[in-house]
Amino acid sequence: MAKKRIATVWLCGCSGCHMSFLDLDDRLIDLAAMADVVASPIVDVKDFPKCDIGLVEGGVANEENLEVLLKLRAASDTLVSLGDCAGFGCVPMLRNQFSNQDVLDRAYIDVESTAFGAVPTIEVPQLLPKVKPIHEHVKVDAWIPGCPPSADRIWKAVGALLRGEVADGDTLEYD
Amino acid sequence: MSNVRLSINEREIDCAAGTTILNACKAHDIDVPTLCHFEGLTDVGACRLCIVEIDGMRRPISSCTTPVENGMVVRTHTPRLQTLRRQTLELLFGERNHICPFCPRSGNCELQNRGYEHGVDHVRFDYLFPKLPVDNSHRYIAFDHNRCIMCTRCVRACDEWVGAHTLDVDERGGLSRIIADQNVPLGESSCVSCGTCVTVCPTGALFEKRSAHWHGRSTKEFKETICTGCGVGCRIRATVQLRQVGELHAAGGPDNNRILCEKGRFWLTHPGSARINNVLIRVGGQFEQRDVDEVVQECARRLRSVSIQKDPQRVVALLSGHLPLETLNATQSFMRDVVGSDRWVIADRSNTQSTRAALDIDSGLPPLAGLKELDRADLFVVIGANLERNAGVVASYVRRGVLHRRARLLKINPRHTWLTDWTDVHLESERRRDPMILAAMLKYLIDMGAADAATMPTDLSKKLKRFDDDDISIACGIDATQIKQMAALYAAAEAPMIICGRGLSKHGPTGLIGALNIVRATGNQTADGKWRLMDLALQANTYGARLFEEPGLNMHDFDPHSADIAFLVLGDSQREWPRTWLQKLRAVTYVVAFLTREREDVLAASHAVIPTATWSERGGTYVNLEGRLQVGAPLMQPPSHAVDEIAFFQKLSNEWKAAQDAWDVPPLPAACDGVADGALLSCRDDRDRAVDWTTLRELTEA
Ligand code: SF4
Ligand code: SF4
Ligand code: FES
Repeated sequence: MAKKRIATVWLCGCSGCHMSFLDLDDRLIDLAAMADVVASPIVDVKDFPKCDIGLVEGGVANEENLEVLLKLRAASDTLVSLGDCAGFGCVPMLRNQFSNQDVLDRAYIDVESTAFGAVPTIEVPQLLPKVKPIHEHVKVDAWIPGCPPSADRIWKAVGALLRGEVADGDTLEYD
Repeated sequence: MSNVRLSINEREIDCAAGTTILNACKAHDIDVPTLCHFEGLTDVGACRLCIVEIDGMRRPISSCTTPVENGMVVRTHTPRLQTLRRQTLELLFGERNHICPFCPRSGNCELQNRGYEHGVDHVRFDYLFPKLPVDNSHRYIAFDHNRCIMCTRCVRACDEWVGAHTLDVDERGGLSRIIADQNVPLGESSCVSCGTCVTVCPTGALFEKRSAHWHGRSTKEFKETICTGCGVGCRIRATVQLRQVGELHAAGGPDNNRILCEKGRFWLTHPGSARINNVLIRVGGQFEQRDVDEVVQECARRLRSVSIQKDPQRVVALLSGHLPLETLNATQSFMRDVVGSDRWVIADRSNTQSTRAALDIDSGLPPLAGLKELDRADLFVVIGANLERNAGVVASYVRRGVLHRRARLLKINPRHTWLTDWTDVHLESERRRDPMILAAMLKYLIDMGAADAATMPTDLSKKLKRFDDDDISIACGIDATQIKQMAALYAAAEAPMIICGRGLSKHGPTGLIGALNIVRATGNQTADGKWRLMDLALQANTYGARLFEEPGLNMHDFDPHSADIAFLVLGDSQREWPRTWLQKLRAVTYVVAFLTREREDVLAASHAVIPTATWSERGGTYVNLEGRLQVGAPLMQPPSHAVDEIAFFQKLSNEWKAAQDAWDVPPLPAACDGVADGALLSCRDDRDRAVDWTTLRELTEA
């Protein structure tokens, strides 16, 4: 069986899902036997090569998130939403109750720990009006909820995808 | 009741007419998913999760609000229903802001569980992201509207069970929201802080603030015990993890009551002061950590002193009525059988001796009403009691009676409390006039022919005839027409209930005797021979302590100048004592306090302090205000520093007495023998008990 190609990406999330992915521990060796990780936050590539499975952590909060998401969607056969931020919006979604200006002011100017703050404008992507789960922007083929999804859960789902199967959803977990 | 036959999922099922389809399913182990249904609350069909298909109906309908009909053909789990349910759930998730990872209910949330069951791994509808507030104003409860699914379980529980009706729904459709009173913050509302809304909320919308910092209800393992808050004796269920007690819930109990009051729900888990972790002995002006044996030896030395040998009554014990019967039993036996002193008392603010005398405890336990009778009453007379503060669950029963059964409420109390606004008649009389008022009420009942005066001495009835409204107004210090009105309402009621608080017995037994007289003379007895009168026991085992031989001490006339040693066995008791008691205590030569937590007033008067187990670490027997025996189990083991009171007294006895006088802790009073957990102790038969006419005589002489 030809080795599958996996790409992972981290959008508006906390990296927890990737940590959980690394928590696969010795199963990473089994994974390496079945698949190549062709792109990920810890692999230094600028553009996504074609891949079988794309794993997305994090929701879409800014223009860059959206651009990266669209690229990975185009590059991957199966796009998987990994974790609650990608699937439900989760914590970043809290900002949707406020205007972007209020959120930025609170974070960069009003925050108690800052004396003379300013909202950064150079070389940072624009915020989108609302943080949204990725399936509100692109077609998603599978979801692995969890905050973060446990390594076992990731292994179960990714393992199934590598074998060309669909893992049953009878053990969902949102937290 | 007629029976109905219908088919559910191709199964023929018989059930009683009037049952809902949902309940018929439940009775036959067909698991229909629900969210707004809660056992014991009226169904409203708010969540649409319990929808079923019925042959001949165009659309699926909610099974929780549809009664069964003969010949119905019902299906509960067709693919179409499952699809609709999943969509409904997705709409619920998308309608507000659910962020499970930091929600205190995650792991034990009904919405979440329904989501799992229906494979909701993402929401296909656009999120609405409404901007909703979190109401943090309440002392114990937080209300996060972001997680509310508008099932209205809280609204219904607050109304139907608690009788407070603090919560309701504002606005309509997508704008609807739960509000308190006229949309004020929960902390400033009429909320009685019973936490029932938190208990019934399926999501993390209503949660206990404390649980934001720890597991709350995330574990599903519950342990059961008895609330030690007051004499009602509610059963409570608690989650326990890592030696921490989580949310406390009502767990059935005396009348399968589903509610607790603020004391049971929150006070037990919000102790006001620090735990005492060491045996302390006063050296000079300071406490020093010492070994418990030093206290035992010091007590033994003092007990051997000439003055106590000559007069054992110089040893006194003040016990908290919140302690289990086992501890009370051992202590009073130690006092009586080892020391030879009958000067022990349940140290609550009630006048123990006057209630004992009025109820004539020496001739057996009186048959008094319990919670169940409250739910059948159509009139309440509340005398000398602040129900809201001292017996919140009783207050709830009264409120829901007034609210839902239109029961009448009469109050005799100088103070204005919340319930006062709900009264039909409120006598704002002076407390010491209570006996007169009750006697006058009995006189009017006799005049109206509602009370039996056959046994009344003739001279008294002659005197009474000459006694008119003006005389009564003078004797009672209050307009007699109000008393007459009360008597008329009482006479007209079918199941009137008199609820007596400690205020009634404060100045002696005649008040309570007067109340009993009314019940007796009007024959207000339940079918099983209980008087329709409730005597509010302030503490969890106030009633249990009545099983012991009458103590020779009453807090009201306790004279400490004649005491050399005082044992204060107080457990968790936190309520500060009146200053007069403390002043008295300071005159006692040696005071040993058994406590769980720091209490400045008691510590200041003590010479030695023994740390003991707290309510959640001890099990034991309790007898509630209707004489129901209940056994609570410890939720966890006591910490190693906690000293067991019974073991202490055993040790002290061994240290003090020679081997031939060795004392063994006696078994519980015989009345408890063979009484099962949850059963009533046997009471005396009061059916032929005569009215005590002296109260009326006192009226004519006043
Ligand atoms: S209420 Fe339930 S579904 Fe909503 S955030 Fe909390 S755990 Fe999740
Ligand atoms: S607060 Fe809880 S119980 Fe009340 S309506 Fe909302 S979800 Fe239901
Ligand atoms: S349980 Fe029937 S509509 Fe909610």
